[in-house]
Amino acid sequence: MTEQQPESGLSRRTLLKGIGATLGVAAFAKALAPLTEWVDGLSVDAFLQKHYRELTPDELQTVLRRLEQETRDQYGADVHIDDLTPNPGVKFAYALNLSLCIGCRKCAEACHKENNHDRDTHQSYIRVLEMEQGSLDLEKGTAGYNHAVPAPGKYYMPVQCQQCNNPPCVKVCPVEATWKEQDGIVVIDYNWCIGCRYCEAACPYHARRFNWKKPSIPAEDVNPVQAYLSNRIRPQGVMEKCTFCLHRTRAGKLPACLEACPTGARVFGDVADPDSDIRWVLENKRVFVLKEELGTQPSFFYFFDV
Amino acid sequence: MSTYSEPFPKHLVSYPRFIWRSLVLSTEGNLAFYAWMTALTAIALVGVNAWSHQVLEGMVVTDMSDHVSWGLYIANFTFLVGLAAGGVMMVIPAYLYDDKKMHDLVIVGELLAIVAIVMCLLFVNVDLGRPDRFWHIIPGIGRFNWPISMLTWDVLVLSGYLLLNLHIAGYLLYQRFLGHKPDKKWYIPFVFLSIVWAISIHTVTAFLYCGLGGRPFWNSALLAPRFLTSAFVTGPAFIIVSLLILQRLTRLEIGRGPIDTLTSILRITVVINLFMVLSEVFTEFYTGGTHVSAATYLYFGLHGHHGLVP
Repeated sequence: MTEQQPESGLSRRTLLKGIGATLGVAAFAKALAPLTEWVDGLSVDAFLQKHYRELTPDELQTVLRRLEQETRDQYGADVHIDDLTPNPGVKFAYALNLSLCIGCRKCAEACHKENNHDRDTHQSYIRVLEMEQGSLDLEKGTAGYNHAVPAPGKYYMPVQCQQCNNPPCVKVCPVEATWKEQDGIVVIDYNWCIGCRYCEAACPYHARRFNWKKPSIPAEDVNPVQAYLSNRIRPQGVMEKCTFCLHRTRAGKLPACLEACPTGARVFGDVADPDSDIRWVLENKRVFVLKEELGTQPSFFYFFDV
Repeated sequence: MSTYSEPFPKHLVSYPRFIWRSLVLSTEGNLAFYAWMTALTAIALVGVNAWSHQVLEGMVVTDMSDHVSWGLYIANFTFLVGLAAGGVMMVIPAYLYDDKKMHDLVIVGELLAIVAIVMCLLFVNVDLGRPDRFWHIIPGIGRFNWPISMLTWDVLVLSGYLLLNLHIAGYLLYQRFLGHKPDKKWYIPFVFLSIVWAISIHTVTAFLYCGLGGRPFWNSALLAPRFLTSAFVTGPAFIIVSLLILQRLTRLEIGRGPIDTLTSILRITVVINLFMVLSEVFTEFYTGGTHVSAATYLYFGLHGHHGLVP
């Protein structure tokens, strides 16, 4: 037992241990040094911010102004971030005419700009799959084609968030950072998401994206018309997804991808409105949904015109 | 506190002394011990530094992507949950079947569980894109999506298992430090709870994956039983190796008994596990279709990709 050892031996060993421990702590602090720069970029208000649905109207306004200021500081862009809530009685749905789609990816490009996506990775919420005629097997589709379109023997299937009525991504989120709103749009509170990416694993449509790095956008390219739950520039390390451009559609406009489509393949609207285009398509076309067998009940429909 | 042989305030003095004594003993050793510890610390520091770069620059540095959104962190997490659960293969013979020799060594299994769980928790935490928002997942402070999200169940069962094992191992060691015989009612109920709990941690971890309809390869009822069985192969295997090393390097009495018991367990679980692999492979490949793609990739490669093919 050490108690029986001579006093000098014990203290020498203790001294050596102390030196070792001190060196260890110093090395640990040095290893963590890059974190100081990261902590400097975090404000106390941002750290303590409550969940979107717990904010009072006043608190929400304070948050919106703070986010506008952060965009000015970090991107040099003057933006207006609004909070658009669902319009009562509205239920959005989307339909896509696969006979008309030519695979030009103008929708994906429009999404890229409208939603302030990272310019380096050319991110977009839409992937256009080049499919083999005679097959609906998504595994045979490829999003990486690079040739003139439409190519012979192929057809094109743009895929984005299906705004499921039974969304697997919402179920799995451990912190309720994502939820389905009254008008059917599945949204994310980018300031509440912890970045575990469980929703990305759960989504059968590959509709969700993670911000693997801080998005980079030149100030002049930033779309200044923004909403808290949709196209404001996302922070690093959180999930993001298509929101049917709620900053446009909740204000009575059409999604950016629809406006960009040169063939009129896209149809969007309120299914609760009997006179809407979407209602006409759902009533008169033989529509189908992707991966129906999974029971996700998408609000996104596909059809062929013939 | 009549169950303690001394009045409670006395623990306020003796418990810190116990912690201090443990700290002193765990940092005592010969030159080889210090060299080994220094090497491990250096490796850990490289990891800490890499993590802080990852937090600053983004998870892009991990080379994961939207297609491979979970990587080594989550794979290691899953493996270590299994290892932690595997420790129970010492606890069951020791307490359920009153194996005297195993009983003397069971603390090795409990300590292994603690170490594995701590590593699990570290692995999930380094996988978070926003570690600063960790508080969002703390029940009562954040918004805890329980019982719907399986990840919230995992938080509960993993931290519960850690606390249980900390209590059991801590209590037994403290009583030994005091020179008392441990009072059964302060640890036996927790030991039995920990047996059930060990099963639960790996079951919940399997449920994380097998509940995802969009992932056909995981979406199988076989996943949880297979996770548990493979844990009961790797757990005992790891403990046997650890015991053999302990026998070599320390004065701890190991003997053949516990190693033979663990070997018998392993001989059975490894066969059950192989049978489950066979059953899985048959179902996937005989059926064919899109469901087989993940398995095809794993065993043979697919569309020219074969990064994970053994």
